[in-house]
Amino acid sequence: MTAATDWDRLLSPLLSARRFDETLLRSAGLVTGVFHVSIGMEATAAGLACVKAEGDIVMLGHRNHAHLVAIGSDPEALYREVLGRAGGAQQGRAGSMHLADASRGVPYTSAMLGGGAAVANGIALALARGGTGRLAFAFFGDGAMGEGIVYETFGLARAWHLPIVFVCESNAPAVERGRFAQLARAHGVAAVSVDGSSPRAAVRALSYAAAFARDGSGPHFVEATTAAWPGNATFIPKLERAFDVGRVANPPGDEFEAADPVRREAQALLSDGVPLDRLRALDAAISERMRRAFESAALAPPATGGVAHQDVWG
Amino acid sequence: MITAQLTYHEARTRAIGRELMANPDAIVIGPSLSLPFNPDDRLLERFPSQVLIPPYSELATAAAGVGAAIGGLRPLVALSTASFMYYAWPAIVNEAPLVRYLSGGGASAPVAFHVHSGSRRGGGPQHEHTPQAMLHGIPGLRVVAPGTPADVDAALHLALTGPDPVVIVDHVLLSEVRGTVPGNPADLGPSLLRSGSDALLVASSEMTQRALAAARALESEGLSVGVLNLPVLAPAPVAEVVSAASDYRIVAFVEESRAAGSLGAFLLASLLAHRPESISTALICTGDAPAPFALELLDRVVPTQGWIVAETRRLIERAS
Repeated sequence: MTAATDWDRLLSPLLSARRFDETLLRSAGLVTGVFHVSIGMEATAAGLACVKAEGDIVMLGHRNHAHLVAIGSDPEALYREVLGRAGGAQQGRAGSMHLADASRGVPYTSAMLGGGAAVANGIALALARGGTGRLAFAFFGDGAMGEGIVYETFGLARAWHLPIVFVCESNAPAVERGRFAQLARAHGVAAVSVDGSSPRAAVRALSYAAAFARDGSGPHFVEATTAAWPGNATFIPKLERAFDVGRVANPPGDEFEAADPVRREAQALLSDGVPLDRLRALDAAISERMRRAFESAALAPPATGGVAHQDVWG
Repeated sequence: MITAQLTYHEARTRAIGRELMANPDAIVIGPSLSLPFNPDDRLLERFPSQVLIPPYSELATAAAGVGAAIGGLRPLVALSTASFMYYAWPAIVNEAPLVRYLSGGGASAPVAFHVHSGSRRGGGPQHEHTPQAMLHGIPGLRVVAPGTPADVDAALHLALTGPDPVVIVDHVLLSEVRGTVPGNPADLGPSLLRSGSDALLVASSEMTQRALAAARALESEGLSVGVLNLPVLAPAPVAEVVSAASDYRIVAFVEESRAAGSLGAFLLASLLAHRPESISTALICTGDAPAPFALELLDRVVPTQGWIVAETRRLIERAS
């Protein structure tokens, strides 16, 4: 991970997450099961990479690729897991929907709507009793906001004043921005709503919420709304378009391109005076890293053997 | 602590107190392991910093127990009446038991869930469930159903120090049962509480006590009946049951669960697979009905001492 003051502290995790999924989608036929990509929704993941402190714990959901790549998990281990190959992040027992990395504070991933958020409350309780100013993050989509578990979770977080940041990544076009924040507030949880396609706005919101929770002010909710990427609705999405760093200076081709968080950050950097060549060089290095990681994972043998029956009972 | 003669509820209160004192990271989520009509364990009063009161929200509470365990605490989530745990089902069956497996081995969730299961006489169809039959097939979960004061002592030690998520299936009617509790917690496992030569009854929880009473009653008729107490339901103690049953021609499984899906049905099948030709077996289980409110009706659904006596006598007579 790059230092917080680096010019690419947002673009680097954004591009890593984007190129990770694009590379996977180019060979989607190799995946033997279900997976979900994060394309168009990387702003909050990049925000997490900037805001997460040492010792914070993160619960993700079924759409988790961007967060793990952004916080620095080894892409090859993730690819191996998604492809069901030996040496996967969880030995092939979890797959895309349950990607995790305990060494980076993601102990396991529940793919049930709102499941991880409810568990994160308990993690926040443990961190609070440790008294070190660490906090728990819980990421989930707009779908979870229909589940009763989320409202029980808000109630408990409020009753116990837990150091937790709930992040709802909403790509539901039918739900007006602010609606989910309103629901959180109605359950006693402080909330903000941001444009989730703006990485800088996402960082500001997550920083604010994290500082709030870290100070002992209790739980905080962040609603980040994004455009729905045309390909992310189906179980096995196809790569409909790839990010083109060379087009960043051009006007957006359509609504999605206008709301693309990677493009927006690249554009903002150009406005800040970072030369396009530096963006190209960063992108080339990241793209190459993902390509190599994928190729190596795809050549690995399938996950086999006794691991199927290990780690059930301790 | 010293070896003592205690009632079941005294043993439970002593054990949870011992575990909370031994480990400041051990916590109870919920006010008590007692029900309102039980002698109160006064946990909140005795351990104010280790007892947390949640709002009524079983699912969030149980899931918080899972997270607290991942975070290094040793939580016991007191869910009260067993059917309340259905609200918490996703956390108990689809989060806690999967954490180690899904994490790749890097994390685990050794959380304990405590419930009061079974017929308490007068609770009615919604408050007298025995969810253990739905739980013993869940990989990664330990399910324990103490039948004696010594069992509940060992069960709480396992639940608050062991490596896995545990469901403690407690039973209100055991509250006043007396027994010897060792000074240091023992490993929880099957115990032959009574040996016999005519038949073996295999039971857990309240049914262990009813099987013992039935065996005593049958003794006065000149029949010698053993009782094997099975406080661990999952992982299923198949080898122990097969071994303990090896001296018997007649083995009956007494269980407060419907026969379909019961642990007894699985153990019976395992036993028959080992000794297909030389054994008579039976399931003495709850009837195919909810637990009715009126006591005369309840006694037609949940096995009573008299029911166990009659069924055992019939098995012995049929085999001779």
